Amino acid sequence: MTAPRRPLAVRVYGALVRRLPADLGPAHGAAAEDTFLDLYRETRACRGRFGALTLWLRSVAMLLACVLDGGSGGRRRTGAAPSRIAAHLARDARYACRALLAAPGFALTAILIVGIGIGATTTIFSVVDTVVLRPLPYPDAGRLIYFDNGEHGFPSFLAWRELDAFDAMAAARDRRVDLLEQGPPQRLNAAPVSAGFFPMFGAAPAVGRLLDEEDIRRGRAVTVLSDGVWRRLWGADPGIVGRTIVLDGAPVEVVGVVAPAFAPPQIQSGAEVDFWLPLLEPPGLVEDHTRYVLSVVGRLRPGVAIEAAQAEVDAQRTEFARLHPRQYGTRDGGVDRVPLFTLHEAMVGEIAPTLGLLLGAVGLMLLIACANVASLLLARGMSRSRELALRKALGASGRRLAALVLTESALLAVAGGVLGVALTYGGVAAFRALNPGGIPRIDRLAVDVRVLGFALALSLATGLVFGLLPAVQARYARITDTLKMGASSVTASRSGRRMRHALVVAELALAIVLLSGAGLLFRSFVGMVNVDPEFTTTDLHVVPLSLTTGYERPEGRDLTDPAASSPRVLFAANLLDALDDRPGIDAAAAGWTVPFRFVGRSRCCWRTPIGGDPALANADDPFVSIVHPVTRGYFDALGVPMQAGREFTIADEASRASVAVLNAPAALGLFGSVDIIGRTIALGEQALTVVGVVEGVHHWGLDQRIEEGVYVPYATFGGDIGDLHVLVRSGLSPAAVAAAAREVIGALDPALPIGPIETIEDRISRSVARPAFLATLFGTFAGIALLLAGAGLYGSMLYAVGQRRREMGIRIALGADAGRVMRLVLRGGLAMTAIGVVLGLVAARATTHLLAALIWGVEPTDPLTFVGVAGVLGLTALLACLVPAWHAARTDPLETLRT
Amino acid sequence: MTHTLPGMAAEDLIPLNPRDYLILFSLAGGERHGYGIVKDVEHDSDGRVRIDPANLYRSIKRMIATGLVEDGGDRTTSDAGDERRRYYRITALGVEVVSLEAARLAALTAAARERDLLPGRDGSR
Repeated sequence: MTAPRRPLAVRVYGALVRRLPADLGPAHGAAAEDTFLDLYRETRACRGRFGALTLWLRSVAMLLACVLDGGSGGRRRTGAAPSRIAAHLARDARYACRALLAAPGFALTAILIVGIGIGATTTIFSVVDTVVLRPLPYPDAGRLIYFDNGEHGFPSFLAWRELDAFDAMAAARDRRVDLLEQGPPQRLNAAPVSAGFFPMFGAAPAVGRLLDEEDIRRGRAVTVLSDGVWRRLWGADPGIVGRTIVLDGAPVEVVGVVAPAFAPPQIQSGAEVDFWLPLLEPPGLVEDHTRYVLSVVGRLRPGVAIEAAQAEVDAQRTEFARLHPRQYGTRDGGVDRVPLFTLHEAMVGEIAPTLGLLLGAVGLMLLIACANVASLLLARGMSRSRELALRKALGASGRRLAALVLTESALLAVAGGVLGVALTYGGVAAFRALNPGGIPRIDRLAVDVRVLGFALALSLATGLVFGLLPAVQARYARITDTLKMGASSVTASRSGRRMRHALVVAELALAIVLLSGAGLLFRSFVGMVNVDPEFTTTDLHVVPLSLTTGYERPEGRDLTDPAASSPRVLFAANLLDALDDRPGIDAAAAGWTVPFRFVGRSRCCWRTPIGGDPALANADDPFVSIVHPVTRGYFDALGVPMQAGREFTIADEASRASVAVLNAPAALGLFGSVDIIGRTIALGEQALTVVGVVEGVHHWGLDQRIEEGVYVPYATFGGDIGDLHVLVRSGLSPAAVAAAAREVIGALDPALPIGPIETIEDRISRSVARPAFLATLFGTFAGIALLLAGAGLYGSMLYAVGQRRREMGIRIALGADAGRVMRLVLRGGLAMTAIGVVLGLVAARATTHLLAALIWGVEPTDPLTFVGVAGVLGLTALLACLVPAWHAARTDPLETLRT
Repeated sequence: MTHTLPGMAAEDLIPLNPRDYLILFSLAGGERHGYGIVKDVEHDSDGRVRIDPANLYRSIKRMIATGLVEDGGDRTTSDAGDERRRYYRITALGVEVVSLEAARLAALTAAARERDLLPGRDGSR
């Protein structure tokens, strides 16, 4: 008989029913499957897919209950319920619910503590999961390899494309383009990409098409829009395809829009690309070994190890270094290697340790929460010990009692878990809002199934952790001891007390560890923001401009020829004159870069060897400095005093004078003195006369040292530089300054794109956003930990005092004064605190070195931080003990003795 | 465990567990296959009891061993899309046991009513 194929659910059920030892036998097993099929058909027809799923789950659960029941149903007495365990569980759960409802204060406290712990841990886990654990959203992501060592030239890219280890290779550049349509002139991000780019990252078009090999080979004037810019500027109009827009003054045809699911590889193209362009391979550039503009990702051929690929790249590099030692060799005659990393490692390598640390910190907090709830449960166990002993006396086995107590803990944990998940949604939203930038893929952060699974596992684990002690206690409690103690027992059992004390000590010690971490991060942050940038930051505004389209210098240039004036230099001079004339503007100047334009360890722009005093020169180790082209009045606008000489003047600019201003470190490095007015420095072929020496400023961030700087006139050296940052010193409001700047610039060139106008102080506070973020987060965790530990100590003391009321009463009746009783109680609490602090400090000393990379200006073993942390905890502990001690001292002896 | 021995008295087999009782009660109305029993039980218990297949066949296997139920052979049935299904029928011993159990339940019910633990037939207490 050929029966139609049965639904999967039925076949799975049938397999289970026949395989599992449910004691049905083959004939009945087959009949059971038949009957399930009949039921399934009916349910599917009447109650749909969901009803069928419910039926399936319920049937499988009952089947499992049969199996658990021992598979020996045939020999059981006829009246036995097949799912005894399930029934027990249900009964325990009902009982636990009733017990918790009877003590709502206890239950709510416990749920709240667990909820906060789980919520925080799950939030951080979501971040770690999104950023670190999940594979990159690209096909064969595991085989994608990033070519490190910065950016690379076309010759390298073309050579790597031929390597056997890789079956695909993609390069991208990072560019800004000006768009003059769709609103005010804007400067947007573009990424010219090579032919392999879109296929390698699995990008698909939302409308139109992506760039193809023909576009790139022929260098067609086409572009693909990002989903973001398409929505923002063109209102997601599908009619954009085929239209021509003008980018950087050149018409390009829009051929498509990339689908929003595509997350560009941040490390290669930047995360916020607006326009994708074909990467041109102009003949000049293809052979140019001195221009490094490409970021390269390759895909390993299946089965090829990264080490093999590295060997091929090394061999290629060695060959290049032989041909072009100046470009690919190191100073000591070696080869400037290109290390390969997996794309994943390259993208998350920097942030992963930080996130791991955060996960560790919340894990600690969760442990404290567990210890707290465990000690709550223990105290509750004490007060219930008579009830449990009575149950035991009436025949309940130790195992049943333990199961009962464990069920109660599990219930609390699950309720806490539910609260934790709710808090996670809030936490994730907060994390996204707070994100100081620099965390890759953070925009994809969301609460998902993995995270919820993690929360569930976490809450079950926590339930087990904090429920185990009370369960063990319930199991081994001795009936006679407990019942003998009677209603007015003098002291709690010794073992119970010791357990509670150990938990409190553990909480205090863990709190010390967290507080130490937070303290170090906070000290580092405070130290950083207290650094004097060495210029006047108030009332200083920055206007970023890009003088690109229409500002190219005519061909046949001579840098020092006053007649060959660059349109950029003219514009800058006119702009500064116009700004000087505006009322309310105290000073205006401009430069290629300004302080805090770029912060961090990388150095932008123009870094080159400088020649100074021949007597001090060292051919093997030439003096290298950043060269800053700046206009007249630059140091006046910044508020940096001249140490000697003068800064650039209009006269210098008009005559294209070959002059320079050095900052003090550069002067000392080149001449060993700051008294060098009139000496000359060599910048390439040019000799420049030093006309001034200024104090150094923190140009690259508060956490970076003051570096050597050589300042040269923009009028002489700025003619080919597109970027210009205008400094405006004004007491007007930022909005007024921005409006004035826009008006002045608009009058000179209405089509000139203006970047975001900000105050220097905004930029500075942005530069410390990450330390601030970390300090805040650690501080929050440590604060919660401190609160929990304090509450744990307080609860434990209050409980102990309650237990010892009679003893206190007797002491007072025998003549102990209040101070003596208080001291007695305080001594107990502070002894626990002292042990906790010592253990915590030892643990902190052993772990804070993990923070070394994140802190600045503080040692990981900073004694001041440790002392301060111990002090804070000690004070908290004192407060937590004082109230119970005060209670004890006020014990009325008559009242306690009477009861 | 005496009930696995054949030829035992009906009195030894009560009280029946409620599921077995409902299954026997259904079979007392004639031969049924598994699905038919499940639907009967559901109907007879006002929808309160819905037996899952595993427990149904465990009960049936047990009651076949005890001699309360016997195998009625396979035949096709329209409510399974004309597929073949195994039928079961109640034995004489089964009828005797289900009657005894019903009588026991009736006595319990009457006792409960006497003590005002149950509403009367007219719904009054």
